[in-house]
Amino acid sequence: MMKVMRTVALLSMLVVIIAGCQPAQLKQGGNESSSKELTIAIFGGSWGDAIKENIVKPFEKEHGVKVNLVEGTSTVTISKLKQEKNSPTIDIALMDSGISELSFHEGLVEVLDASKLTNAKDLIPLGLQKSGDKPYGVVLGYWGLGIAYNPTKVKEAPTSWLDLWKSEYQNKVTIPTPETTGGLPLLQKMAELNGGSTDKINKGFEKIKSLNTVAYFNGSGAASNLFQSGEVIIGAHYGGPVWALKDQGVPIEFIIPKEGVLGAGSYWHLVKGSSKKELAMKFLDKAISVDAQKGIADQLYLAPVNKKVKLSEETASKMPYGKNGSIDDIVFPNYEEINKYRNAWNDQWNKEIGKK
Amino acid sequence: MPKKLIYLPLIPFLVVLILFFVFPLLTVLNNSYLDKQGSFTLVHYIKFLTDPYYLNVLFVTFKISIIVTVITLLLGYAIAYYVTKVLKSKLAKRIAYVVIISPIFTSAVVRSFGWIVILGNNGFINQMLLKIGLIDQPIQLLYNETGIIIGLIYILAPFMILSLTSVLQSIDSRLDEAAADLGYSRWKSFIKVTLPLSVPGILSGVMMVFSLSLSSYVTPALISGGKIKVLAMLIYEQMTQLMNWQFGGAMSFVMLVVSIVILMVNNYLLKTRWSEGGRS
Repeated sequence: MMKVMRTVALLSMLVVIIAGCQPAQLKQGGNESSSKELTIAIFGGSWGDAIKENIVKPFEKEHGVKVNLVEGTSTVTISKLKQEKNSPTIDIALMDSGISELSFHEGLVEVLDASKLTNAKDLIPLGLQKSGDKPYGVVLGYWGLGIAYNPTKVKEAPTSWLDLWKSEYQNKVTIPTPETTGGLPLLQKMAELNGGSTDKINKGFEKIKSLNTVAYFNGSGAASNLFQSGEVIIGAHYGGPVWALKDQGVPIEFIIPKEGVLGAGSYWHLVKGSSKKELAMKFLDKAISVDAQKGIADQLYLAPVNKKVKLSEETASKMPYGKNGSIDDIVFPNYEEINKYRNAWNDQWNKEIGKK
Repeated sequence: MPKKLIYLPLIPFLVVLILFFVFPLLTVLNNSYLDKQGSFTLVHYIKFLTDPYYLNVLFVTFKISIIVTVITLLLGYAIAYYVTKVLKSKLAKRIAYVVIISPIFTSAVVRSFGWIVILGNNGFINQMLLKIGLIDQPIQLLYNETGIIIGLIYILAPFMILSLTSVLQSIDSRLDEAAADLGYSRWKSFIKVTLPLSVPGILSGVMMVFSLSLSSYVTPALISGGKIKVLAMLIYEQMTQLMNWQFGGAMSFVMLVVSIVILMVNNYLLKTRWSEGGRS
């Protein structure tokens, strides 16, 4: 008898587990309240916190809806979108340059009707992520890869990407791998500076191979760690995280190399096949509102795209285009072009650089 | 209850296993022999098995796992033996178990970061050695194979120790006494009595540590600093960064097959050698 009871208990547990694994949409099955919920894929860490505070919470209040958050990096998010292509559980996805273009190319995200966005009129021309004239994303903010250095160890402030190759910095320098957004653009830039081009990328590999790094970083967290622990005294890094380190008292400065910061953006996308388009469009509208854009700029030092945002002096000095610059000073790599080579360059990187 | 019904309670577990283990594995395997259009192809396997780069990564991964397993076994055996056979007081034993198990309660990410702090050029070990004057240049402990091996040994040691203590504990200490009575030295009785009897613990510990270090991603990814790739990192890269699920699937399957073969060989050798030797 005991055994039978146990079997029954186990079976019922199993049923519960299986039921719990069903996609959310099946469970809700046309329930009215489901339209009051929105599922959004965002990043984790300080970015996630700033997004929750400045966009998600105000949006929930204004519209009386519940937002479910799924945290992950751009690449993890796009894998999910790809896996659920036919019945997405995510309505809006935040993805960085490179991956954003890829998601559009793969048909995972919708073309947006900009006329439905009330804040669109206040945007600078770069305010929407476009393919040709088709907008498919709104901008969370722009950021860029520049040079960070420890002013107590580096006597002469660097001015160019090529300064990283100075002999006194060898074994104390870092640059990104292709895993992080800035990796392939930097490779492309190095090819250019070494007499090559996108077609002659070997020049870039040659240059990068000649740099004696202590380690390569595959994300901004890893880079920050290298600077914080003192393993690295100079190297490529993203602006926002550098200022965050400085705010914590780490001796670090960020400069824009004379060849320009390698720009990138984070974009909100409407996932193709989402059943909550209308509500999702309202969220996208909120993301480019003055309040949201100002909050994100103040907290993460991302360049805003809403013209009406007035930045404080402190925030303005930490923008990815520098104190006196403007968004036009950012060098934006052609990510659509880079994506064409993504697999090949990644493979070559692994074979030539990722095995020392 | 008829005998056949005994299998009934197994059904739920079987279903869970099929649903959450076998099914996902088959999905991955299924991808591995399809091309982008969905027709049958072996190019992914051929690419992996003919490209010296991938074979080298496979080799490095196995090399690291084998070194980690051997060192963890030696270290783990010493610790497990000490805790079960040498420590007499119950309190001391209890404290020892807590110390052994406690690392498992923290995430591998945190523990790997800890090693970065300790092993770096400005880390604790190098600074100490520099101060004592043993070295004048920091030695490279991080961002290479050594670093990954140190990190993995630390993270996986508890699995080995726990599996060994459970077996060592159950070995009757009177057997040792009997061996001593019959003229065996302590060392000889360890080799002839304790060691053969602990083979099941060695087997399960080796199996666990080897397969965990083979599939480990977090520790190598954090400690490699982009300078070394192990297979799990390549698979992750193909699956999530490059969206090449087919090639990623093929790599996973090769890894699975090779590791099963190695574990079977290990199992066979240990079982025949030691247990037969013990019985004779």
